[in-house]
Amino acid sequence: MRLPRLPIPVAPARHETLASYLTRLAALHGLDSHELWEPVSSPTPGTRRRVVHVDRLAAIVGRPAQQLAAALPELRDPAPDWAAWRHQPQPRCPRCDARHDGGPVQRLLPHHRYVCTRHQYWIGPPDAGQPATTLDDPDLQDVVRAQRRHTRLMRR
Amino acid sequence: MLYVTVPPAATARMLAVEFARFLGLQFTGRANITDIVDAVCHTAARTRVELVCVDELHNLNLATRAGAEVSDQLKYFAERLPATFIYAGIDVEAAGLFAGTRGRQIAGRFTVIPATAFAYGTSEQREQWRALVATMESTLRLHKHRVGSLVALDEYLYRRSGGMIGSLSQLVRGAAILAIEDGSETMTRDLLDIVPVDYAAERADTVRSARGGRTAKRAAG
Repeated sequence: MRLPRLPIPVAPARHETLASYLTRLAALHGLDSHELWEPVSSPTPGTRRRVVHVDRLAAIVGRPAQQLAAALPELRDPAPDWAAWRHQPQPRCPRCDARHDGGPVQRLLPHHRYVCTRHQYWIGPPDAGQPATTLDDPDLQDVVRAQRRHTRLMRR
Repeated sequence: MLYVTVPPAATARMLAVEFARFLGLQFTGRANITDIVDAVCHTAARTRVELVCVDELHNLNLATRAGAEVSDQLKYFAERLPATFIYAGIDVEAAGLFAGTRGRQIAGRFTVIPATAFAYGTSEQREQWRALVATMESTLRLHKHRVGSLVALDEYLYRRSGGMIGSLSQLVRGAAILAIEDGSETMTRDLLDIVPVDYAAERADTVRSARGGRTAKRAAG
């Protein structure tokens, strides 16, 4: 069965959880989120979990599967090394999240993401899940610099 | 713009599903009509739908309970959506669309614009017909087509189609497919001659030829 494309196919946020993305899409179309979960996923026998099929999600949002997998860590194949990621989904900095329409954005962040270097917000523990703390105080600039250095180190 | 047709023997839910289908929204069997209508209104408002065309309105029978519910559903959409509604149908007055309480409501909200076949009597009418043919010609994608050669056949096309836009499009489309198939990639009268048109246009053409050109043309207007 060919799935029709949604009329408001917003992009996923980087590192967004599937639940968050589908909830935002549903909210934008005035749908109950079950109405989106069901066509794009299938149940796992014996559990209440559902497995999302990336090609089906790609069809309803009209975006390539690779692009979705790059943004949504749960769709990556092979799966990421979850030991390097936090267990709890969380918002990012309020200014990064404000770009995305359809309600709050929940993301899974790797452990080494402590600071939004672009908008200068602390997004690491213990703040995760609470209103983010801004780091625009000149005394705190070394924290931002440390995150930049850390990110560079991780890329090597 | 949003375009739906009223399905035959429609129910209010079927109509709501038609709206949803046009928008690309699918529902599980568990969704009730309120869920569907809410999603349609929400999505249409967000995508800034300004025009809603409801076709095949003659399928709506206000004398039946289901028909009355469809009419109520249409009215509900019209109230919730900030859009202009256009209803189109055949012989809507004869179908009883303006009769009864609901009919009077429809009659009180809409202006009737009678639509007839194109005419070919006055020079102004011919100009309108030529403009229609020119528009259709501009959509052709034939490699060796010379622009204006279809407009030059305007009188012939009028005779074949009886001034009906549907018959004209069938004729031009059929000839374009033949031109692609035989590799000539251009529209000629010979190709158009091969394409059969619908029964109504064929019959109108025969009547007209029997009566002689000019009078029949006026009658068609």
